[in-house]
Amino acid sequence: MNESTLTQLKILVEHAVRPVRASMSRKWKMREELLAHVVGVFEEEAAKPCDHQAALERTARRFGSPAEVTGQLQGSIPASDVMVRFFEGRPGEPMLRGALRIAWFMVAGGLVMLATVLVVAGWDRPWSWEELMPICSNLAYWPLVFFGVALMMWWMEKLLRGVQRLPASPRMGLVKSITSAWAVPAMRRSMIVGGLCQFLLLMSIYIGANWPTQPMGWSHVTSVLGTVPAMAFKASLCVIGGLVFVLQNVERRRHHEEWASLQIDPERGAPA
Amino acid sequence: MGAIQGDKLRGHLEAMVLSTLERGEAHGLEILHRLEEAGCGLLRLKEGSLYPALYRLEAAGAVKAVWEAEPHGRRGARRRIYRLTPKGQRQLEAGRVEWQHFVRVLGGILGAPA
Repeated sequence: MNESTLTQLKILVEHAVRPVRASMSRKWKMREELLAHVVGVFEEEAAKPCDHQAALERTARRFGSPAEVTGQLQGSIPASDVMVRFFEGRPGEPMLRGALRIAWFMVAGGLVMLATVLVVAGWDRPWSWEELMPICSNLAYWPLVFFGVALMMWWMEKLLRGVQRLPASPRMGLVKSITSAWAVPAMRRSMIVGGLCQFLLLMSIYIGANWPTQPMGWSHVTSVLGTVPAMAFKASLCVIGGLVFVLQNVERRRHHEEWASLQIDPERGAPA
Repeated sequence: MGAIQGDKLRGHLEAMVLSTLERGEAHGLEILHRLEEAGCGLLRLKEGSLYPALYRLEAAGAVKAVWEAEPHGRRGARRRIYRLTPKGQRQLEAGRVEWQHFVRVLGGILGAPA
């Protein structure tokens, strides 16, 4: 099968999938599976004694009306896909805006959970100011931490945009994704610098939060040093979590851009 | 007897798909081949309609799907292999009972009992 035939088959699939309102990852699944199907059908048709164009036409006929398939695909989208769409963002959305949107969502979700816990735990006995103050002061750091993670992810994604071929795909295992990502210099740089920035941010928050309660002295220094392993662990978790998200996001956007570049004529329907 | 077109299959496609998967796991095109074979070539299904039905079944937990490891010579795309779950098996049995009831009722009305 030549490149032109494959493009024709992709256009046939894209006629049905592009109008569907669904997350990028769901549309990726649809496109790949439907493309595999029409390629298989075309191979069956091309094996019969007929010319290439007739095989393409029969493939399109067997596939059915793209508009009908669009409607049926739309009907198969579960309600939970709305959440996936929220996290993925719109295809043309600036990366920083997407990172901020997720950071705000996480902060808002965290606040709701905390409020629930506080209400449930304080049901029998009301919270005292002495108990509430440290919790509320810690809350002030959440936006900072989430914004730090979001900024790191934005920066990672910006770096990865320049990499021609990413070694990972959403179907790879976590360890394999990370180890193969490490092999790419731009990604390695982003992981190291992102991890260091995250570590410094977490350490600054810890030192800042304990400053009024810890007098300057050897005990304060040992307390700060004692928290280094825990903060390093948290920073590495932020890097790994962020990287997994960013890798998938970059691959999704590339896939989307590749298919969005196909010229389809909505008036015409499927290619003849 | 003429071919059975897509419109007449509405409402029965999911049960038909489940029954093909009872014979073992399969990808979309293989499911269609099994349907055609079981329908003695008289079943004319718009093939694009199969996948929304498979997605609905997957969302309902009646089938499970995994991506095949390699595209097996096909360019650019991989297939998903579907298999029946215990929930799907129960749904299929319920579908068969419902179909028998449907045929009985309509057979009585049309004066052509099954």
